[in-house]
Amino acid sequence: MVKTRMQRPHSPSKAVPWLHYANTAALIAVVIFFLLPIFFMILVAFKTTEEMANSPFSLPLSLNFSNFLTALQRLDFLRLITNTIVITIISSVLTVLLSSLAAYPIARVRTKWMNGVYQLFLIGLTLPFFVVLLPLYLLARDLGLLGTIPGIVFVYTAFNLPFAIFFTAGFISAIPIELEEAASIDGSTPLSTFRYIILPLLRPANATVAMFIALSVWNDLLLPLLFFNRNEQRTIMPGVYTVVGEFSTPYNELFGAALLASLPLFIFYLILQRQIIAGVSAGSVKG
Amino acid sequence: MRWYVALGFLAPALGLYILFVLYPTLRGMSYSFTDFSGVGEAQYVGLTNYQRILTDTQAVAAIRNTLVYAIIVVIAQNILGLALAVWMGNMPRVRNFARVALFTPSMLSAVVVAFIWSYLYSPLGGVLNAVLDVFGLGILKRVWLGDSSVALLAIAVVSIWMFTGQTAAIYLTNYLGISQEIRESATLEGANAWQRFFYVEFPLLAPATTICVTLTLISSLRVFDLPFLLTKGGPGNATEVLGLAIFQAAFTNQQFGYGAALAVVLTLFVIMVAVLQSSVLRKRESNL
Repeated sequence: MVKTRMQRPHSPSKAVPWLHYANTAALIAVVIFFLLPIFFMILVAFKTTEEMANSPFSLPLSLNFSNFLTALQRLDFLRLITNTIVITIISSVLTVLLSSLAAYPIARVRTKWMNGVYQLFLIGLTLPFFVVLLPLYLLARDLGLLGTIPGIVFVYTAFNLPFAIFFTAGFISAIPIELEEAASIDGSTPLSTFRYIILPLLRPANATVAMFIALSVWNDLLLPLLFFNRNEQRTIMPGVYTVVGEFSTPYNELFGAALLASLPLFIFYLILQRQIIAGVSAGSVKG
Repeated sequence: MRWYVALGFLAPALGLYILFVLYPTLRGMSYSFTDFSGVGEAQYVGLTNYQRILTDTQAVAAIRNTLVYAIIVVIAQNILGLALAVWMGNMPRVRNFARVALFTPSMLSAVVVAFIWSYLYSPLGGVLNAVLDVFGLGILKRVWLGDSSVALLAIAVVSIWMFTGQTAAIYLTNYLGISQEIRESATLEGANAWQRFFYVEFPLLAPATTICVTLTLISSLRVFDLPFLLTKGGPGNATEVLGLAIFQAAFTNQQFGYGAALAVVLTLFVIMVAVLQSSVLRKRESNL
């Protein structure tokens, strides 16, 4: 029997072309159905309050940006975004640096106590955050870190270390050890071997780790809500939540603020979608 | 590498991790045996906090709701994610568009997602009730988040909507990794599409199944954001979950000791899942 290699693999309905088109159309329809809630948010964000009172399915008569302007006035938007970016960058850099340093001996030294240290970090992967929330709050208060940027950066870093070390150590294990051995024969110290040989090779792993921290810091609600008393110190999502979410704000203003707050991250997602989706799916299947 | 050099590399990460993760964990567990209120002295009270959980209707409701919620989310999200992954796997031309689009809700903040769904569910001009009217199903209209018989399910639907794209992406990666020869030989042996899926492909999806079931189970046991934003546990205790109960005990009622005991219960659930995962689901993988 001749194998029909030329035919498109993976398509069970290849014998009947129109069935294949119908199947494709059905999948696209399901995907659009999935996105409907987001379309409704965008639709309402452009409506006036009167338009909203009509039917939820009606289209706005004109592109009306007043909901976005109201959000900008009420939110101190620039400040919240700046806070978020500063906290994101410092947390990402610190996590990437500390996890790369720690992952190096974890991946290369094969002794019992090193394995013990690794297991200790892995405990952090399953720990529910709430168990630590109350004592963490007290600890931060006692250390005078409540309401400070270093305080929240330390917490984000410490909680992201387990996943970052797990990911980076796996990456280092796949790097051939010969380079390091040659360097050490040439008299390179472990620190300079790390700095000049390992660290440059870790760039893809570091980028993935930084990306996940950016996503989690940007979308986090609870920690900034507890850590910062005053709203102007908070990050963007708790800011949106406290300013417009807690009062009975009309939905069109609510969605104006929500869209503005999501826009930077959405652009980030569109640019890096391939890496983000690959990071979520590939990293976890191998683990 | 000498041990003190290795320790030098580890020290900064280890120090931060011990101070901000391990130490608070142990301190939290020790609070669960006290009547600590957040300020002042803590009195040792033995197992009183744990006994109180058994008689506290709010805590019992929280445990029950957390388990019900986890079961709904794990089953629905995995079936839906798997079905979408197989469907996308067979549609190479629209695969990437579908994957990116389905993934989008999980990129939104829970705050934004809660805004969207409180509008869709709203009793005043909400979309869902309007859609039911259009289809002549007005009899099904409800105050979705205010009706204790459906509120928990309504929150589960939001979570499933948000994260099914991630689950589907993980299954899809595994699905596309199944070699073409295996599929072809199953077809040559006369297997139809369903038989091929259940006897050939699904067993080979064991790695993705393990990771997806574990991830959805752990994250739904830890659920906090959506009930906190959408219902605050109401109406009554209908959407009270453990994460919310811990938060309320500690930060609303100033009962740190009791909140810590609830937190230990939640940790035990998560540890049970982790153990179960490594024994049952991994065994299925090794049968490959």
